[in-house]
Amino acid sequence: MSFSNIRRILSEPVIWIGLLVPVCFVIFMCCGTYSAGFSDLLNPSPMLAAVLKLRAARLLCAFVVGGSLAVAGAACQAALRNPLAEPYILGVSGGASVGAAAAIILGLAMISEFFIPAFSFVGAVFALMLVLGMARCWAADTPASIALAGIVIGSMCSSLLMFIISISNSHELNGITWWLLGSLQPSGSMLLAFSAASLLMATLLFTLLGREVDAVTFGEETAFSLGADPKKLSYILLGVSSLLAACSVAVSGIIGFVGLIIPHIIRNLFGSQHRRLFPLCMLTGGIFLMGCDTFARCIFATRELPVGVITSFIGGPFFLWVLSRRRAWEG
Amino acid sequence: MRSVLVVILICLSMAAQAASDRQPKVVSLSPSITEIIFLLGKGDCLVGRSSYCDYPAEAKKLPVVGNFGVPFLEHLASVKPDYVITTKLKDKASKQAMESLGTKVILLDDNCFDDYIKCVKMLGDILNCPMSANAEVWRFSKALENFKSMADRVPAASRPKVYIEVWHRPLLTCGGKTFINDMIEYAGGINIGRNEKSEYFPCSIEWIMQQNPDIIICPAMGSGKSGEVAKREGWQQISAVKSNHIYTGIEQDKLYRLGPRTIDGIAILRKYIFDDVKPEQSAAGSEGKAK
Amino acid sequence: MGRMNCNEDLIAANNITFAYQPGKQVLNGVNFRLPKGSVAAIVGPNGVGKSTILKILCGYLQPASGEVLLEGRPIKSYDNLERSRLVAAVPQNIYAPIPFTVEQVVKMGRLARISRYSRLTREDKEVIARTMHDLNIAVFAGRAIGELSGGERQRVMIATALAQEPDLLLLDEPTSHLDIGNSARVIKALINWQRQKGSSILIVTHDVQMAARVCERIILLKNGNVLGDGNPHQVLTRESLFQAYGHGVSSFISPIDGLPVILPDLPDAEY
Repeated sequence: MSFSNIRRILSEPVIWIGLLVPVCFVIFMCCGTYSAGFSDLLNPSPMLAAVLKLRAARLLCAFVVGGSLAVAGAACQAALRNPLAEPYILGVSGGASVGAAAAIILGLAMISEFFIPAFSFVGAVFALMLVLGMARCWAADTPASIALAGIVIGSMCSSLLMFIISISNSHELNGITWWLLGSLQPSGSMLLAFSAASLLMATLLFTLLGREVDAVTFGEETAFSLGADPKKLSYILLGVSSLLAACSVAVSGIIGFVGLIIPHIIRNLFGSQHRRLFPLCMLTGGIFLMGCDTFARCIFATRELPVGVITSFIGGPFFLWVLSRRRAWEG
Repeated sequence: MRSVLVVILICLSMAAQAASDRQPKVVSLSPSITEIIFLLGKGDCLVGRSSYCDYPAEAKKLPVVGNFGVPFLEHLASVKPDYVITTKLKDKASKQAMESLGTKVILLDDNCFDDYIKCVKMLGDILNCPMSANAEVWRFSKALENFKSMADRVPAASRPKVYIEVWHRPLLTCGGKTFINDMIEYAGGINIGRNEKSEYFPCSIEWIMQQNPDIIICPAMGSGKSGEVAKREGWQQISAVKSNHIYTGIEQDKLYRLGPRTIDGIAILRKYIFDDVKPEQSAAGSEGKAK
Repeated sequence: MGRMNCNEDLIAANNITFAYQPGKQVLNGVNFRLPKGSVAAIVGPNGVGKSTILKILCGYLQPASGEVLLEGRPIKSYDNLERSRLVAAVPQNIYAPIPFTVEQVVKMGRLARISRYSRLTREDKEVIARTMHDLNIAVFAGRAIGELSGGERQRVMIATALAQEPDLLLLDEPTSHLDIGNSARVIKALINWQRQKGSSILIVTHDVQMAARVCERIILLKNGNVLGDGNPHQVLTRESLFQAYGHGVSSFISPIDGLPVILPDLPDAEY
């Protein structure tokens, strides 16, 4: 292997951001309310070991959720040809909220913690099926009609959610509200493993389809002429990305903004080509959410903030900075 | 003869008037207020309750005219109360609305034991039963004193640390400004959330592990669920879990309602905290404490 | 022209009908054949179905009846990649919501010629560089497509289609956003490319002057039917143009190139 080859490989952003992931992971592992000196870390007490295990599980969860949302966001934006689309556009978040709220209000959440993610996943998939079915029935299965069906189902779900909230007592209401705000402490390893596996498979699939996805953003006619199958591709992109979103909602509740801004930032920094965009989104989305969650864990000694607060609060200004940096650089 | 009848009728109506003067019509929108009114023997004054007022059993026969701190105005108007008494109003504007219906609205605090005593005295005045009110104040204060003196026998440093889990998703516990905090103190324990200035607050797992409580009380979990708490990821290192001091399935109303049964609540807490805490366990607890 | 022999036709439309909504027929049995190596134009009034024919010819829309034969085989029977190596179409409306650079867009033209598991080859890169140079867009190769003017974007999309190296290039109003100079340059580049490769070009246009100068073959549409089909002299006559557009035109032969020049009658000119 020649020197120029090594240089080429290292200049590939996927490689060095991939190397950044374990570095960030170790740094974030050291942060937390439970104070420990460096020497304690090398020889942890059983309590510290338990704390570190919790942190590791949580960081892993944050990485999977962040990656899933960012990849799903990039896919939805391409399929709907709308850079402001987000992974929840197909009613996934609405369906998941109703599912989780139903599990809480039916008292199933008291029986076992597992019911909340299970119900929210079922709710999300059910809403997704309904949306795709509705779009099919209208015969015009263009991305626009899929998005429209998503909005209809989403608003129906939100009224159902309001109904459930109106009949719930204060503890249930508290549970529903906190679920909606999102938390990244994993409640079951099964679901997390499933989400991680689907994230990896989806990213691989999308990356291989990357050139076709590029073509699809230019409209169906152009994509068709270039040799892609825009209809099939739209279905794959929207279906798989909604599944990713459903998984991450079931794992951690609704976490906004990641799916919207990470693809934007990556496009601004490394270009729009989807062969590169998808893996970069997975890595960067993961790092971003790990960072946000660490911040949410550490900012107060006793409390935890909902991570959604941090994603928007840090993500918003950062997003603006990236946009303005680009403007300045061009002008 | 007729005039005698008229006199008797007038006397009767005056007596009825006097009786109704002594018996104001009251609506309670707070379960603890309902409990106190029944305790004072004035349950017949109540003409309406909130949907949360479920103790004593007689209370359930009353018509529901609101939720806890939320009046249903039309239902309220139909029972024509003289007083609406509550410890909480979700919407401050509803006070004006109720007053426009011609009722007096009395909003009482329930943040500490003194509030309870004030509350009982005030209800005694309003309901014309100062004697029974004083009796309750005496009973309550005496019982508190009793608990206090028992608690003070244990030096502060060796009192067990108590984590009370108000809700599990998110982990919600109570801060220093709640009467539950005081109940734990009178029962002889230390509330790990005592330094937090707010009432209830969502806390992080790491913080709980850092505090390392000796006793975990989860009123919201059903009885027999302590194994579930012990199985939670990472909790095995907490000394309460190690020594199996997890208590579930408690009558929540005795804990969360500042009322006559609060004394029972303290007694339950004391049983959990004291009957089982042995010196070596508290020693283990302080050893495992983080530096 | 190889009209008798089907196999020499690059593309043939056989009795094509089409309706976007039931009852509102856009095309009523359109027939024509295009031999290899020809340059043809479809002209006709607004809403006559010119763009629709183009979409049917590239296989994007399915005709209600009739069929399109590409090299003698029904176009339906081709798979996407196979067809894209033969036919490239540039639609009139171009969406560009995602900020690709010009070079990245032109690279997409190679989609049907590279495997998803491999990178661009040296040959691919040469084709991309050449088409960018031919269409004079290499100077802004690094700019985002969304920031270009309509004319620049049109040139980029034509370059992308050329990078496909198709046998048949379908263009819908390729010069609608271009000034006279750029329009001439694009047409020249297209004709050069066509001569070099021996490919065919079918243009849908309103610009009859351009059609007359560039194409040896003109197809005039009216009410979903072919009104005239032949060389510019045969088709662009006063009578048939009046019939097609419902408006009088003056037509005379340009002394420079001997091809017809068409001027619509305006109120001043009539009297």
